[in-house]
This record gives sequence, structure tokens and C-alpha cells, in this order.
Amino acid sequence: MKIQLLQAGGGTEIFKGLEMGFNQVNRSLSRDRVNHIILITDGRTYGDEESCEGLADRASAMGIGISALGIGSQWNDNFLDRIASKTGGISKFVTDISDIRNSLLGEISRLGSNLTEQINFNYQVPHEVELRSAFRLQPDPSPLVLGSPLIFGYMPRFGAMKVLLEFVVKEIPARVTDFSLARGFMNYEIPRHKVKTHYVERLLFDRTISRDPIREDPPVEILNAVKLIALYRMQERASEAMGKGDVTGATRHMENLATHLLSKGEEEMAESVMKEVAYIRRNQSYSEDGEKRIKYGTRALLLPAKTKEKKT
Amino acid sequence: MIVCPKCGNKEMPGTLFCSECGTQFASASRDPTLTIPSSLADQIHDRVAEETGQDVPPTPEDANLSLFLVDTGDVIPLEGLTEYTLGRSAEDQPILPDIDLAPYNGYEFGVSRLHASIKITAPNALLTDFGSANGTELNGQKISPNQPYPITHGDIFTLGKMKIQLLVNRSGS
Repeated sequence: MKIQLLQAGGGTEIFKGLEMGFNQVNRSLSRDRVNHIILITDGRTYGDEESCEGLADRASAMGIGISALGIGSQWNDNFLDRIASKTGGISKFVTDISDIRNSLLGEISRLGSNLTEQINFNYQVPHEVELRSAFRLQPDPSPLVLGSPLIFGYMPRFGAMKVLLEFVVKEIPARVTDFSLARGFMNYEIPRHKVKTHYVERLLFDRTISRDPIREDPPVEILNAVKLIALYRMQERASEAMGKGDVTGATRHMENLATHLLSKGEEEMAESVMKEVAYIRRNQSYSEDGEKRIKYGTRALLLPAKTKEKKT
Repeated sequence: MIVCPKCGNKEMPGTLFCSECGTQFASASRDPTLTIPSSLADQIHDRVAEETGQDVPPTPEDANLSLFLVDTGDVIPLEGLTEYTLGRSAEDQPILPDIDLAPYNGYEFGVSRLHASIKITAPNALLTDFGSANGTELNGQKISPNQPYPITHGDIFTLGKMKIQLLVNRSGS
């Protein structure tokens, strides 16, 4: 479709654009190609969020991914995160309009070098267990939308995928020696593979139950990841508090965040959070793109390059 | 339920970090008491008393670990956390270290805002300098930044020019 044919109008209706993209990709849907929609937006959509999410579910079922590039400060990051996460895509914050070309090229090159586009996990948990949260650490750190199937996302040709699942066990039945947190199948396709393209793998989260457990510290890698996710959540809580008009709560969360960032050696990020706190105190609102800068900044801390070069 | 020692927030058992203030719980259930042979501890105690010309005060009874500020004679108990940041608060700076040395003339002594940390592990505590402007010395030797050094009872470390001694409550060990 020629971009010139698109009519520019006021307001943002993401659904229309998304549907056009969907139809276009659907028309030439092929297992031999990358089937992906890249949504570029600078605005908030009004009233059609549900239709967008419905379309994302449909796209996901057909193996079409949706990624989002948000420009500036007005777009709804939580909404686009959900759309991307539902389909195995990613959402990115483009700070400056002049970066859009590079971001788009980067996204296209990423899609071209994937081993597989969408890894799904169809699972069941026993009634004593709840999957409380899921967070993809690698590639492209992002919270995942809960539900079965759980969309883990894409797998780069070179590299690894790491997902952290947080289970809450409400009760362990008496006299059991083994307990299953979750059981299911992982599905993925390797489109250009010569021998076999569709893969199904059994994935079990079974644990041995001991009535007299030896207390063990969690592995360092998990502890570090959870620590960074805790920072990300602090930012989320600040943003929730702001949404409710609770400026004191929001600034408290952000000050905590800044303290932890500083103790991790992330001075620049800590300083930027502190500046934001000062701005909020003066104006009772986030600065223009402050909220998103902090969100995507704390998320970027989870990138492998970052975790390797950490200063502390 | 886990109750966060820093902010009082309640979390589910097994939680690794406080969702409210980010305090780490993971090894909080471990006994933070350090065991040092009493004869060695006594030796260090006597040596330090000789060197500084001051007798080392007893640690507060309810704390296993405390910091003795050699220059001012103050004792700061370390309670409730497994890792403490040391530094000094400054005006219009929202970042507070766990142990604030501003009231003890931290600025004059050359203590950075976020200078170092003490992590309580067994059998030693670990001292890490955060790349502070004036550096940290341990028993007279400058330590490399961002690298943990084991410290035990009686060790004296210097933040800038501020001398601090780690005290371990021997009756608790």
C-alpha cells in the first residue's frame, strides 16, 4: 500500500490503521515469509482499544505479529505493550522523530533475522497455583500478557530467550512428594527449516516436595533479574499512583527507584528520575516524556549488554 | 507473611524484594550473626583500643552489628537489613543512604553522597566502595571501587577521612 494514499486527519484511530495493515499482511500470508505488522503512532487511540485487542488476538492466532513504535509522549504505552505482547511483537519508545527511520530499519532487520517469530506456551495450572506474572528478560525485556497460551515472543537466530515466571502456590496438598506448578506444550515454527517446520515440546514445571526443606538462596541470575524487575515495577507503581492523583505516593516510589538505581551504579538514570521527581513536585504532573523515558529506561536495564557491563 | 524491615510493607512468603521500597529479602531469613573466635576478637579489640587511645564501647545489646564512629564516639546499630548503603544526605537530594553520615560531619570528612555499602553475609560482612570521590580504606589500605572486601569485628575502614569501626556483638554470637 502506498503511504501517500493514506489520508491524514486529526485524532488517532489505531484500529483503522491496524486493520489495513492486517488485511495487507493477511492477503500475502505465507509460512515462508515474515508476517508482521509494524505500527507507528504518536497518539492515543480513543474508543477502539477493544477492537484493537481483538484484532491482535486474531493476528496472533494466525501467526501475525504486531510491533509498535511509539513516538513522543502522547501514545498509550500500556495499551501498545499489550498489543505487542499478545502477538509476540515488541513495543519501542522512539524519543525523537528523527530516529524513526533507524528504529524502523532496526525492527525490519530484527524480524529478518529471527529463528522463529512466535513461541507459545499452552499450559494449565492446578487450582492451588496462580501464575502471578510473566516477564521476558531476553530478547527485548517486556512484561507478558497473562493467559494460556502465554506468548513468549520471538527467538533470535543467534541468542537466547529467557522468561521469568512467577507462580504463587496457595496451598500444597498434604502427603504429596511431587507437585506440578504448570504443565503444557510449547509451540513454535521455524519457517525456513528444511526438514520440519512446526515444533511442539512438552514443558513441565514439576517440583519435588519436601516437608523439611533445606533453605537455599535463589540463584544469583534470578535474584539479579528479579531485582531489576522490582525496579521496573516501582516505576509502574509510581505511574499508577500518578494516575490516581497521588503525587506523594508517586514521588515516594520514584525516590526509592532513584536510590536503588544509584546503588546499582546507574547514576545517569537515577539523576533523570530525581529530576522528574522535582518536576512532579513543582507541576503535579510528569514532564512531557518523563514517564515513558523512565519506563523504557528501567526496562532497558534488563538488556544483556547492560547486565554484563554493570558497574557495581 | 514477610514484613519489610524498612517500610513495614507486607509481602507473600518467598518474595525476594519489597514491592514498595525494593528492599531485598532473599537472604534476610539467614542469621546475620558473624562468628569470630573470641580470642581473636579480643586481640583486635585491645589493639584497636591501643591504637586509637579509646576503649571500644560495647555494642547495643539488641544489635548484632554496629558501626563505631571513631572520631565522634557515636555508635550506629545495623538492624533489620542485610545490606546497608553508607553516605550522607544533602539538601534537595531525595536519595538517602541507609546509614546517613551527614549528622556526623560527613561532608567535612569527605564522605560521598553514596559512598559505600556493607553487606551482611556469613562468615564476613562485605564492604564495597561505590567509586566515591575520596575513596575508602580498609585497615589503612585503599580498596578498589565496586569490589566487595570482607570485613570482620574490629576492622577499621575510612570513608574519605571518617574512621569507622565494625563491631560484632560477641554475646550474640
